[in-house]
Amino acid sequence: MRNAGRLKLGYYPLPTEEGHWLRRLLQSTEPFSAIDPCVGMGAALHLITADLPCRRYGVELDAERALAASRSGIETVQGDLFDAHAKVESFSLLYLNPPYDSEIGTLNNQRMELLFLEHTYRWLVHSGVLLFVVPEKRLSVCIPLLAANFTGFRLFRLNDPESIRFEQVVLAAVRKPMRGDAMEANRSVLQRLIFNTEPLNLEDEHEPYYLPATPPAAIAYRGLPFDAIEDLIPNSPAWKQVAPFLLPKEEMASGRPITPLHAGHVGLLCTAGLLNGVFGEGADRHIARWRSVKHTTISKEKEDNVEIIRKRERFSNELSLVYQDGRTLVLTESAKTVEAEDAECTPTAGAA
Amino acid sequence: MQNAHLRLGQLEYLRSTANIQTRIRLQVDRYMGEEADGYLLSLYGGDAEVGAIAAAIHEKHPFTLTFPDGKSKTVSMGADASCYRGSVAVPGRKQPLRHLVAVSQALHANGAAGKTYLLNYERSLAWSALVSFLGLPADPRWGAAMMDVLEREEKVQELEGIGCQPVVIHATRSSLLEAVSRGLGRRELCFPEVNGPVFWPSFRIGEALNIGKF
Repeated sequence: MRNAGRLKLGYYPLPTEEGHWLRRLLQSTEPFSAIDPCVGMGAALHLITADLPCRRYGVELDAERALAASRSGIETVQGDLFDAHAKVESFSLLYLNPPYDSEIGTLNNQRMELLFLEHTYRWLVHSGVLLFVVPEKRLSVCIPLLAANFTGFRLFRLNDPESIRFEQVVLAAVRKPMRGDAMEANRSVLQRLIFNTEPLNLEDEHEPYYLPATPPAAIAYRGLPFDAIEDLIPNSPAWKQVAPFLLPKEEMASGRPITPLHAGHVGLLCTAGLLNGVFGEGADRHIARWRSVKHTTISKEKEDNVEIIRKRERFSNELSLVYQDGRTLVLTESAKTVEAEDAECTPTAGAA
Repeated sequence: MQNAHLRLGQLEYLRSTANIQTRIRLQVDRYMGEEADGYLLSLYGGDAEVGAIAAAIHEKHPFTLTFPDGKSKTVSMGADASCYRGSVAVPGRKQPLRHLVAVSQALHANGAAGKTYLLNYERSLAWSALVSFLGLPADPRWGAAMMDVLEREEKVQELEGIGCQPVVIHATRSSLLEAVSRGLGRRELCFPEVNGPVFWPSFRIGEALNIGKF
């Protein structure tokens, strides 16, 4: 799928006219449950099941569209379909218009059309009806699954200009597990239908599919609620531990001491960076900033052809000054070397 | 915010031993990196999955990272990366969610070696971070002028990110002290009028993570 399509989460809804034609393929007299696993805003499911005694269910990844579907009267679960679960054989109608895309992973990337069908076909009751809207050339990957689990296939071409552009067809089928020779015969029928037969015109008169009665269904969502997690994750304790590497440190002390500070106190506060600020008068006015620097001394010794490397770490303090007239000064415990500049403060990683 | 899945990346870790192949996929909410080097990786999931990824990071194993736009690449956190863990209670779930933030050695020494990494670029945060990490004597009001200089000299470079727009600022303490010296000499920077402490804005991690949120 192109990036433009991915940004829409593969949302290419069924043209309204085609929905009206598809509606003519379905008949039911008793209440039943219908599901659209990619329900979008629910327009297609409403069109296909218009005037039928139907309870409508849907799954939608996009939060806005899921809300719109819910408001239109469809019981909608917002989230990834693969984390949504329903009891097997709980729906009479499965209307499936999946994203036309492939998985993105390192291994065995399969077509989404097949993955969506694999995940949802068991939700159909025996004699339940599948309406599968896909590009015609993508049907071939689904043949083994369809042949083993469905019968009564009919293939219809969609006539809307957008549908013609994507070579969309509708495969209608009835759920019926097939085994052994029956499955092989079913596979041959399906292969002939897909590869050797011209799809039927949806606008012509066709014998309808009769939907069996089903009780109310339920869809459970077992995935992570990403929207809620996105709001919670900045408060994670892990981020608090990482904050010192990403945010400036707050080195500031304010207030008046209870008793006057003596020289030792001042020295300690200075080196801790708690007395950074503006000092002096006239030409000597300056901003002072202290920081602690870790020095690592590496010594090597040779003993009986074995080289022993010893690392000794110690901390010292540095004072940087910038004067009002632009002069700068860095006071360190030893003379500055080019190699040591700015690399000496590298702390060692401490695993948590 | 809604539709968080559009902003999430996916990390895939594949481990093969003699007879067993393990594949772990987790959601990545923040990532900062450059080419094959990851600097920061924040992910969440179940206890076992997050534990396995932490072990793999310590063993310097590479991962496949898929960005929200669908691009994939192999990244590694490198030697001496650190892992920080947390738990997040999610309403409606019995088990808390495990959260892991992995930090590379380069980010652990943020500011050293003339490179300062930021998750999101915002001028006052960038200037405060530079001053704090490099130990500069400076004033917060100089931020705009100094960041102008750094941007003009193309010292602020974008990195690859998920859930953030990270940058690296190439600047050492001596180069910034020189720039400050020049600015004060030309009176482009104004020296604080009164003696005393210099007050810097404070930033919380939540704010820093959400700056430039799209």
